[in-house]
Amino acid sequence: MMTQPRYKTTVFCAALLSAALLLLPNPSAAQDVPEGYSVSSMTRATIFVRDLDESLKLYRDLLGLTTRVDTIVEGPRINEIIGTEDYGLKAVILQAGDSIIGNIGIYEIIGDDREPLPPPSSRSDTVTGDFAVVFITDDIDGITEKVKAAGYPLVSPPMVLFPNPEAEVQTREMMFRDHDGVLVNLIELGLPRPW
Amino acid sequence: MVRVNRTTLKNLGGGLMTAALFLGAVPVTAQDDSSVTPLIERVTPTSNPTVFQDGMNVAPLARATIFVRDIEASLKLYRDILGLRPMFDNYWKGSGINAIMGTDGLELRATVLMAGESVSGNLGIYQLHNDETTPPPSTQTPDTRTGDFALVFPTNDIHRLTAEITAAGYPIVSPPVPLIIREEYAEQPVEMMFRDPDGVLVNLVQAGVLK
Repeated sequence: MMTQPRYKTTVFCAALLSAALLLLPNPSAAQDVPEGYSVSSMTRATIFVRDLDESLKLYRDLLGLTTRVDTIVEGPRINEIIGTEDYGLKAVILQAGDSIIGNIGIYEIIGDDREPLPPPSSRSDTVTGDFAVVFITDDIDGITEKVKAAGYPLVSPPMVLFPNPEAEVQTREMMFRDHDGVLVNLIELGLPRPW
Repeated sequence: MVRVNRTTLKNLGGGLMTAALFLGAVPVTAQDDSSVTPLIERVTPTSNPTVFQDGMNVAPLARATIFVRDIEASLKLYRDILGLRPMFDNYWKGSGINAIMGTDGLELRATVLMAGESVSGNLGIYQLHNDETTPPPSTQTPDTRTGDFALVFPTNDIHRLTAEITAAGYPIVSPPVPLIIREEYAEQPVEMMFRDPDGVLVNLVQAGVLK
């Protein structure tokens, strides 16, 4: 139970609200739900990270995703949605090109003093309960070198999952863990492409 | 001829019915000991191939994958309630799949669900088999914690979905509420959040109606 509010709603001033209005994705701009469905493709997977700057080093600086949103959200409404009281949220949303689907949310809860979830896994195998983000890349070897140099725990170097005797170039993939233990799976498609 | 062995059949669990319905459930084997058994016919999106935009070495997130505790429980939510449909549903065995996962001797049922036909923004529901380790309990608290993961889906039917999700007993983090009141809207954009059986947060977002 919290006794000391960290971010009082009084600081949720008009200027901040205006900034949030400009910076948060406008929900009306979301893509249409396809005919016959109740939801559309995932707009983003969001990680509630332990250290936002560390996460940006990977997803923005190393993988090269670009910043779509970078803001701080405070006040009762965001707390209602995330089921908390009086916290703030640093929210960065990264995208590849201008796509509004398949983005990555990097969110840090400001001043979170509750009992933390178990520490992130750095194990080199995959276990039940793991969460993975999967990206197609055209530079698996270049990115792998950078990932190794930066010291992220490698689960697998680039490898052929299932050799296709008819392929001119085999599809390869690699996997590693990010700063929060999230698995990052990169796939470089072979020729001909499987899809 | 369907050459799924007894162990595979046992491990498939609820997927067996699906496998039995798909007459093409023939394992494809590689030169090594790897095999993959398609449990359904794969849907291959053709309308939106993966593209790398200028200066990008990665494409938009192809999928987020959850290594679930019970694939049938996950499918009840994502397929039956949220209405996503399978792109593929494969059963993997052998050294290739273990090498990429950094494991030894495990088998994997891998289902990918999508809304429409898309190569981006899909959801992987994967279950490890032959895994003798006990997974940690899933987070089921009604508040968001550092270390959580969330999947964000736009919807056009948030109130009906919320009623179904609530009736099914998933922990609700927030009912549908507006994040920001926008004066230009007659009906505000709203979002709600709940936890899936593995504790993954699911955030549904519905666009508003302009005045």
